[in-house]
Amino acid sequence: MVFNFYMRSVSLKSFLTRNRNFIILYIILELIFIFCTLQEIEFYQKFLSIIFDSDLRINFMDNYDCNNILYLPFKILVCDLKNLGFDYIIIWGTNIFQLFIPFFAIFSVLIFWNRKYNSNVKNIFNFSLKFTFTIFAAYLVYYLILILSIGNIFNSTIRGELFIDLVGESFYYNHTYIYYFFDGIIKFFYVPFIYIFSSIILSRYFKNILVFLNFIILYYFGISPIITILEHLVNINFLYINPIAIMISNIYPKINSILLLFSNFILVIISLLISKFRHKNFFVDKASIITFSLLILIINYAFLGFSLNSSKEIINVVYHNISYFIIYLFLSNLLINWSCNIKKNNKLNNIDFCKILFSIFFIILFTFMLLIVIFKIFSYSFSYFELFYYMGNLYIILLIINFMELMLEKVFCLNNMSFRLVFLFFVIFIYIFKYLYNVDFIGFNIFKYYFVFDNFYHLIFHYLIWIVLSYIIINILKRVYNRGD
Amino acid sequence: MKLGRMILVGVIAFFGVSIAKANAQVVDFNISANYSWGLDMVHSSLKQNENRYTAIGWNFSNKSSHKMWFRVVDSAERQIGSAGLFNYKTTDAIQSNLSIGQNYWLSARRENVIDPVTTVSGTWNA
Repeated sequence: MVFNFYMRSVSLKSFLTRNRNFIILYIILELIFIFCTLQEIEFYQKFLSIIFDSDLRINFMDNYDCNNILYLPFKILVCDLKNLGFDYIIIWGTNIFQLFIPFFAIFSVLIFWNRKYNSNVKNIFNFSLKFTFTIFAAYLVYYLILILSIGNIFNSTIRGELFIDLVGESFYYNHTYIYYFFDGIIKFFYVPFIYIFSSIILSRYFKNILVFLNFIILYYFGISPIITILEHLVNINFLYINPIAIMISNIYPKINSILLLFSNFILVIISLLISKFRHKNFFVDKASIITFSLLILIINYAFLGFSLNSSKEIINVVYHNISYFIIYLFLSNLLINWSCNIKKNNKLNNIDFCKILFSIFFIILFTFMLLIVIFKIFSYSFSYFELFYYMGNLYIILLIINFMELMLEKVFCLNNMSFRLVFLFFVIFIYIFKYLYNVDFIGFNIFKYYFVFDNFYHLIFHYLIWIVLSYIIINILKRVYNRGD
Repeated sequence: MKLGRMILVGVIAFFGVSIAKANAQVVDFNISANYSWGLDMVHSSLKQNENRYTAIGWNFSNKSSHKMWFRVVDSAERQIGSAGLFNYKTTDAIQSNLSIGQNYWLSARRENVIDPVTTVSGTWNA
């Protein structure tokens, strides 16, 4: 018995070790869904009010009909979830997932090449299935939690659009739970599978993982805003070539489901064709990625001419975008040199792996911010204050992450990769939610009043200071890291 | 369930539109909406009757053929009633128990995270 028990515990341990990345991924996704749900019902503000504001506490106790203060948060949670309805919560609880698709694609590429799998299509297919099942499992558990906690309560204005052209309009109202199960299969299984499977195949034809990262982010985040602007100008529906449309198919009335599913599957067909007809000497280098990015910028400026009136405004906008683009290239170059090339070293050690993840995290943030900065201008809601606020925060976060990583490794002697991964995900998590919901976390607003500029020289000074500072600090850390290795 | 829900939607829409017309608190709105709730600059204050439903008809957007989320909030930006997912160029109603003498704002939001800001405008019968 003892022997059997011992054997079981060993097998469980080895299972956990072998699948630790998948388990971390599952836990993080589940937490994100729960965090989004709580944010949607404004639970955090209400919870803080219960603790610190006595008037509001009494008000809540009356409104939610609860006499015991210990049960009040739970009562608020259940009542608010039921007020909003199952379909409303499942849409807004999982909607943030559309941001993570390129990140999962990169993450899967890293794990796949790090594990030294045989890179034939069958192996890539099996690995992609495993990765995608993890994502779908997180959705499925969240879906079951919502069914159990909310029950048969729905928002009367929501009408699902995907598959409705195939199964009829009444299907959504008659079988809402089943509809969201199939909706989940598409959003959390089909779409991630397409991106993960194609990414692993396509990443073989890129020189460096970070160059590939640029490509997948520009593809996923770059095309949708351009399509929006084109739709406004040309009045043609480009819905089916928009990579993000399938993730928010609920908002497009009378959608052609088969066409939408097929238009996304084209990425898999292209990657399979490339792997069949091209050999490994064919790859996309950095120059082509830079050309691709510049093309996106040029398209923006071409349309800016229609929307902005004075030439002074256009010059200002061009100046800002070029500045950001130069800083972006400069830092991404630095990080590409810093991180090692996966193709040369098949097996990475933990520290290299973390460095690459950190670089990826930084470039994802920077690309995301760059796109926000570029496309925000079209909305006429562009403000210098906001711009510098985001940029300042980005640099500060970069320095904080560097410093924290160094502290973890040198002071607390923590070289555990899972711990570092959790830390990195935590920072990404905080930053994304800070941007999306304007949640002020402690320490993120310190530099808000520092970045107030009123002339051209101040702007140049701003860029110079941050470029020099980040260069010095990254190099110091790099030397320390290298010595540590 | 199907019949019940269809009747409910029909009743809400009918009463929402008719009650709003009776009160005639019609306000034009123009909202810059994002992934987070965007707030309108105009507000509505009921002077005669309490209103259980609010009807929103939006007819302009810088994007074509999509749906937008709308809700009514009070002066502390707390949601009143439920939020509704409304189609382009239609008038629909949501339940929102508005009381006399209070100020209310209309708020909009979209599901797309990354696109440029969506501008929507139309009329709000509160």
